[in-house]
Amino acid sequence: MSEQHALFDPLLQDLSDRARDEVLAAFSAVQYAAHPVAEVQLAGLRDVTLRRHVQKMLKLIGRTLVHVDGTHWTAGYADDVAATLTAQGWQPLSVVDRAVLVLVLIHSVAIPRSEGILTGDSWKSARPTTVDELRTTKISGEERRLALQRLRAAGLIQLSGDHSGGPSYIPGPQLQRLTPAARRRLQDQLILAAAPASPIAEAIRARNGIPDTAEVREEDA
Amino acid sequence: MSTEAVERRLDNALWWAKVQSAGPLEVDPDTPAVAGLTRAVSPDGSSVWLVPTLPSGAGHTVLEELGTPPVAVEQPNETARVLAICVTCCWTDRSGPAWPGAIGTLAQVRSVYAGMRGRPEQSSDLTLIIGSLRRLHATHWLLWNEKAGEVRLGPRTITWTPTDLSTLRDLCRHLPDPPPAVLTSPPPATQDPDPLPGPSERPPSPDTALTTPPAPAVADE
Repeated sequence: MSEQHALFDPLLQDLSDRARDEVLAAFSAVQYAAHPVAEVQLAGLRDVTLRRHVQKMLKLIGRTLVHVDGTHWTAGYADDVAATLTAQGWQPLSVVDRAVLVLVLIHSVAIPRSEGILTGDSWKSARPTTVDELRTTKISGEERRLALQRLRAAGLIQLSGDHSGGPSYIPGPQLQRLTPAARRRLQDQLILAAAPASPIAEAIRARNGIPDTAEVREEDA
Repeated sequence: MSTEAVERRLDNALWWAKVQSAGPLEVDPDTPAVAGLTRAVSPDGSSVWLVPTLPSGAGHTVLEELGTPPVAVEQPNETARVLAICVTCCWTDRSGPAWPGAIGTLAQVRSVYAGMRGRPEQSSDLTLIIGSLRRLHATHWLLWNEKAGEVRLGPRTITWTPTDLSTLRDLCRHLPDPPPAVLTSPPPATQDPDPLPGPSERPPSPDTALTTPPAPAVADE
């Protein structure tokens, strides 16, 4: 919009016109494309020096490059920035939206992963979550409908191609923006919520320095 | 780098992360400036919106050249049409910038919509119009007060360049003139700071609204 940009110009001014264009194209692609972009497609991602500039631009706005499948790139929130905002209580999604999103993640990723159908730590999945699986007495049909609409608009969920049993949902492309640390945190949180007494939950608590629930109970007693 | 510079960089990054995760933010006018975030002062001066800006050569416009689509807007053509209509209704002084513009009403939007389609209003029109107004409100292209049936241009419109504005001026000339606005609330209306998530930030292009057929509706459930 402006000829001068207070935040990015100091980074970009030393680049040649061509390098600047390549860096801005790569920055725009990882920031705004719905899906991760192929490294081979953009010089700003292929060339290590240019990619370092893209990473510096992202760092200025609290983001970082995320490597997907070894061949593609996207951008997500930097772990330190996400941690600071979380500690400040920053939460742009409503509680209903988060609840519906978590139901989709449980049915489309967590359950298939526990059955060994899905491997790796990605939150991408082709296993659809049906509307029946999203029904819960705690969220009204209208609330759920609006939440699904907002989550779809945000790219957090998407309609699955499988319409055999009515509309169904899979995780959206935005989940691929999670950094490795964020993916692990999400996985840990789901385990702690779904199976708090399991040995793996105990290991997570130990790793995060959270006291074991059994010990807490003893102390309470 | 000095400690102060490091702190300022982190503070910038946090503000940027906030506007990326929740869309433009309405803050107190005393909030210090953040590099790269334009300040859109609300009509009554009681608050300021922080709106992200990018250097020329970056942003959604680059994606088309790269063949990497952004997160899809639902009913893109209908949404663009309604944005164009709201520009006609709310941008009354077209010699100046579009922001903050004037208050328009649902009655005006319905009237221009019917005129644009060249036929009397149909019952399905209202559903399409309201759906589009909500989508545009969620992404801060409009500020839609559903209770009062009143609409303003959103803070994001402050990023429209002189070239954008000249295209929009032409577009407004081709649309039917709206009837005079009959307001139910005394101006200046203050808007609900509705914290809907708005990461779907692709600017709909109102200039394509007249030439493309509406996309098929997508069932929510």
